[in-house]
Amino acid sequence: MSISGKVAIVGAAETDTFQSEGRSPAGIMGRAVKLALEDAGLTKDDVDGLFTTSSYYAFPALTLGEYLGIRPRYIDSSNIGGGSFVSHLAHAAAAIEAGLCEVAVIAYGSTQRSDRGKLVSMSEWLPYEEPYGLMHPISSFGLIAQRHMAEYGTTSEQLAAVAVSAREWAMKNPLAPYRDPITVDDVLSSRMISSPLRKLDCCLVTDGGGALVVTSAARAADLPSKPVYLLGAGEAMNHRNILGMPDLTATEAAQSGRRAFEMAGVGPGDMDTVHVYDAFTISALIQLEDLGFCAKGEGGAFVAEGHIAPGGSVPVNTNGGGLSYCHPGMLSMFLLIEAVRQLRGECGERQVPEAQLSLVNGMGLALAAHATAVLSNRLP
Amino acid sequence: MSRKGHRMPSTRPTPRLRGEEQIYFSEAAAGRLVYQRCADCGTAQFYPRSVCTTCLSERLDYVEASGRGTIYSFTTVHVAGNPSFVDRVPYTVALVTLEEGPRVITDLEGIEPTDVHVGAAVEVFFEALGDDLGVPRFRAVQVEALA
Repeated sequence: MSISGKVAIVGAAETDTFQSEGRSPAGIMGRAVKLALEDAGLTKDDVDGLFTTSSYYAFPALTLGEYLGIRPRYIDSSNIGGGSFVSHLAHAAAAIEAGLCEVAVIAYGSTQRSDRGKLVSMSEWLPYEEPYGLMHPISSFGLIAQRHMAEYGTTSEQLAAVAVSAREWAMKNPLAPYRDPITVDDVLSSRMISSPLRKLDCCLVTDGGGALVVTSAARAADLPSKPVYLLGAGEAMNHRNILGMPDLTATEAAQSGRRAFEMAGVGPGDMDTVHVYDAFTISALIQLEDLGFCAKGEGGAFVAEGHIAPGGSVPVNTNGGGLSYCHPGMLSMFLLIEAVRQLRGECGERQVPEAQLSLVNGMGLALAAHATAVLSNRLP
Repeated sequence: MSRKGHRMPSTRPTPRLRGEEQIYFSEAAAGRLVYQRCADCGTAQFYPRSVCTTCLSERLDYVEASGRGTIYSFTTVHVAGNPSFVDRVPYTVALVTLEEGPRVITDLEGIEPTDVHVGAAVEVFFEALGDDLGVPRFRAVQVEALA
């Protein structure tokens, strides 16, 4: 038994992707759900599965269900960090295939920019890290980047190429907040935050929310939107805090990715678009290595050669990603929505021609957890 | 090596400690850096847990480490991660692999950020944290300690 090809994303919407228009995090979620249901040609009363997580609400599914007046029969607010929504997609597929719900909504909303850009978190501290002055979350990624440099000779110039590529994609996205080109030198001359990572190695801090509507492939055939099928999914984790990360240069995306590719019966070379969690330049680079788009340790050269930029061999984060489009704290909702848009052919100037297969990798915390999905606009 | 020296008052955040979480910090107050070793399978682990991460045994001994280790990775922090660190910027936080194997985290003392490198030898010292607790920290290996 497999969930491969059993469900489709039939509705997708995002809202308030830079500065909220006077909405709370729940308000952003509410509008995103409304828009996604309209996109799907479904109504609120069709929804019987509710999936969400949040940095604002301790009981996020209950908050969202009450806010929208939805009475689901399947409820999931699993939280593995910012990659949670990819995980929710796989969980929704399993629930739908098992008959526990029929129309699932996955939703997210955040006002992190309106909250003056402060990191909104309900996270506890690991006692063994708390006394030592880590700047969360960037210091963990600084430690990761420094180790990658020491083991593989990765340079700051190579990391900067990830930010430059993201901006080149954002310049093709009319919704991106910053559309002026940046150079490697711009990244290198931006303020050092937690070495070796500088300001432009870091994602934007924005508001934003989004929602997906997921139902069975059979029901999707009767709906107006072009279905985007889930062909493969995998999850993996190996730590919670940076102190517990066994090898700072290798992540469990290698496992979640392998599981997703095997379920889908495809490999990295088959992907037309790739959507990885670029909270920081280094996080994107390591995921590309671990997902098999280049060899371990060769990510620096790979990105510096322009492979992930517009016109490159592996289109990565075509909306500009977290680095140059939208990052309200939990990015994976926007990775999924951009993959859906590419597979529907809705991306205008940034459209990858005839895109049929997309990979999405959601990361949680500092490369701690991974949820990978292979999506396609056709069933094999 | 002067293990108990340098006991200046601390303005660091004091973690709220429960159960086994207290032991690392109370041992540090007595000048000892401890990790756990499983009496059944020999696994050395940090941080302290109620069970072994290899075999789930509860027969875990606290062992005093030599206090020597090498820098596994580091980051120099230019924007303080906590209000009590504002006056220290830039400061360097490092993951240190102890001689005995476990990895701990620390901020470094007495090393210019430009002099830090992966693989550098460091040694522990202790700073008081309130009346009953201590914080293990690390600094470059002193010349006399190498002699």
